Amino acid sequence: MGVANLTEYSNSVNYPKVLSDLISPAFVKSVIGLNLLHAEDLPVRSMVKQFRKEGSLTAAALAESTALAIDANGELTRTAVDATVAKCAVSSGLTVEQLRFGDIDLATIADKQANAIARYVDNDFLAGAANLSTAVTSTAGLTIDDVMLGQYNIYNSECPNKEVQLAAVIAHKGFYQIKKEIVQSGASAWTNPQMLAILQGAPQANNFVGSLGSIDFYATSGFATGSGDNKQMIIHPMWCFAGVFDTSPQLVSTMKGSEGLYQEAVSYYFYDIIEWNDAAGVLLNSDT
Amino acid sequence: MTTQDTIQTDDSSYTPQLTQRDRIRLKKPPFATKYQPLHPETVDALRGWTPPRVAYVLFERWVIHLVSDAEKRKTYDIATLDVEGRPEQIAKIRTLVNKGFRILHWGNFHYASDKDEESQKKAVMYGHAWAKLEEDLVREAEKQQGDYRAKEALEENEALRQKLAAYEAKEKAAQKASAPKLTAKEATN
Repeated sequence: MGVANLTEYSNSVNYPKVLSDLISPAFVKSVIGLNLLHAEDLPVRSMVKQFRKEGSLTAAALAESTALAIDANGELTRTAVDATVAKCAVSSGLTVEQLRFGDIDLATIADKQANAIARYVDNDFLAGAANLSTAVTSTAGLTIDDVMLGQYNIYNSECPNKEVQLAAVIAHKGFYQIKKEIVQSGASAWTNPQMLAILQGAPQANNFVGSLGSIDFYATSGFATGSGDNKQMIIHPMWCFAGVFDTSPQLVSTMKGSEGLYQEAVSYYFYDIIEWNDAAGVLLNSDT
Repeated sequence: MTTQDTIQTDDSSYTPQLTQRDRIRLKKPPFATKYQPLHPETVDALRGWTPPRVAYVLFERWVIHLVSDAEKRKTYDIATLDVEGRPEQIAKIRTLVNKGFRILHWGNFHYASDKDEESQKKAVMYGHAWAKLEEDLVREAEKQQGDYRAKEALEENEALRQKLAAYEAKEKAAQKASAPKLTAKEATN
């Protein structure tokens, strides 16, 4: 039974709500791509940059007193792949009420817009996996053998700079399947520090999760899918993909009046990512 | 590729092992595209395929599958290109077409005439870029179709020519067989 005439909390004039000390970050992916491709500045006075590819010559044995006419073996041909710059953009609006009385300001919006653009560019890089011509399709889950088969094909194509570790950019599901394979393998695997490295390490800020068999593994999300598979990849970080990038997103801010009294903020960013050498990458398909 | 690597052609086409999930997916009807896929593997890839929620272009493309370290097989699959945030990508689309990709479909483009207000605003903000992209896509796709139809017509002509040559050879042989044999005297005369 309630007690009457008590001075309760509602009797006083109190703070409606108080903000916490810490704000948790948004649960969105972090970027991974820029370290795994060859990046150059935007072209000047042109919207197209040609990424060149060197040709090669072929020698042949020549017997004594034998002429060797100029033939196809001696013809050097260079090719190129075009990167055509295009922009991506994001726009937001802050009402005058928010600007005046709220805690979200233009600087915060600009920062979040830049992050959104970075994620968009990253997803564009990941989407390049689906365009690679050579593929390994896992029966069900991704296995170490699938990744090593991709590595074998890249080396077999005589991709230069084999001393640079290849990068396997895979989905979180694929990474889980690889860890499960290691855990379920025989006891001898547990005595090998190399096998343990991929199990023990915590993911880094750039999504690096460990190395195995001279392959660096990166686990992220945002892959294209098809036929029930994630379109992942193993690539040579120097020669597979290339891109041209602006220095930073540009912010255009305009105060709107009759349209609704708000501050419009639009950030745009010029870039392009292209597949430079198809033979320096292999598509890895495994279950989503 | 080394000499011991071989690429099998489509007459013994690559069929990956199917999981239960694949079997369920393959029972569904294929996604209907603006342009007909050319290969049965592409139709299989379109079964149970749901289009993305963003503006996209769908391609049919060839893939070399690494079956093992000594065996590769050529097959066909689908690939999508996201054109939501960057509709000015006709140069990239042409690069993919030159690589052997074939335009099958596109969708979720933004137009000024859309009922959705946000979609309208986006179309205007990007300068009607999706409408321009669609014009370019139609042009590229029709050109591919034209090239494909021309190639089909050439192959049909060649097949008919061979059939005619075989028929004429057969007729000639039949005539020669049915011609009356001359006696030695008639032959010398």
